[in-house]
Amino acid sequence: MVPYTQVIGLALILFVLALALVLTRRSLLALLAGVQGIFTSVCLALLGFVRMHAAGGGATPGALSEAYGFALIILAVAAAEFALGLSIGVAFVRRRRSVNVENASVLRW
Amino acid sequence: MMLEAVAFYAFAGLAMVSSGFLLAEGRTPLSASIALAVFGFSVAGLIQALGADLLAILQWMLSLASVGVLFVASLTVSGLAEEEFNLPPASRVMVKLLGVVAAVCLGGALAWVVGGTFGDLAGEAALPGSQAVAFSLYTASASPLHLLGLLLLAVLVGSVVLAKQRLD
Repeated sequence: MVPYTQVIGLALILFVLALALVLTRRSLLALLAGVQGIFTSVCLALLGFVRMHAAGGGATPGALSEAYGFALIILAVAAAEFALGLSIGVAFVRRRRSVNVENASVLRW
Repeated sequence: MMLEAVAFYAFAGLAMVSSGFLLAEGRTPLSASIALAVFGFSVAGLIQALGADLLAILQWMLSLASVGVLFVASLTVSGLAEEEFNLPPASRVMVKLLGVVAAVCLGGALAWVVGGTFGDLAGEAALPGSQAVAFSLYTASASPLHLLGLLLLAVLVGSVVLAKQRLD
């Protein structure tokens, strides 16, 4: 049995790595990957907390189901973000011939 | 239980290595998309090792879909010519060996999942199954589910509009 502290700790490490990726890189694909990493690490952290409450016995089965449903919604939102981000990226590359987001300095194309 | 811990630590190491690679070395679109693929699959394995089967299946599907799309997009963006994929003979052997190892690992993981020995938490605490999660989604979380449906519809329309946009 993996302790929940390790699950939450791993989620924290992955979150920090993904956040650093978003903050330091200027490539559009790297930014997409970073945001995807943030979403999945949050989902992993949620699972860690679910495990914590399940192990402590302080949560009802209904509450655990709601937490799993919430994690599912997070994954669906991540998929939606990825699809829209990628289509924005493709449109950006077609227009600017670059994946560097520094070239998108104005909101009007 | 021992198997679950080994899988968890193996996938955790893989996830950290791939995200570290993305941060430090993933300069080209192709390497970034491959690192993201490894990251997505390792997170799916982590979720599977934690016993959340429904979420793990969703994460597997999400990783597969996003990686496929991102791989094609990165090839388009990087504009790699066909001859750039012609590797020297030594590298070709290495790639084939890596492919065989990856196939064996994936086959083992599949047998593990199908065998039902992956992430059994029933002895420790009763975690909800897919039926309980679905019941919760359609009762307590009905409003977020409706909002999610609207969001997905908006994303679908927005993606099509952006993709079909004519250049000046």
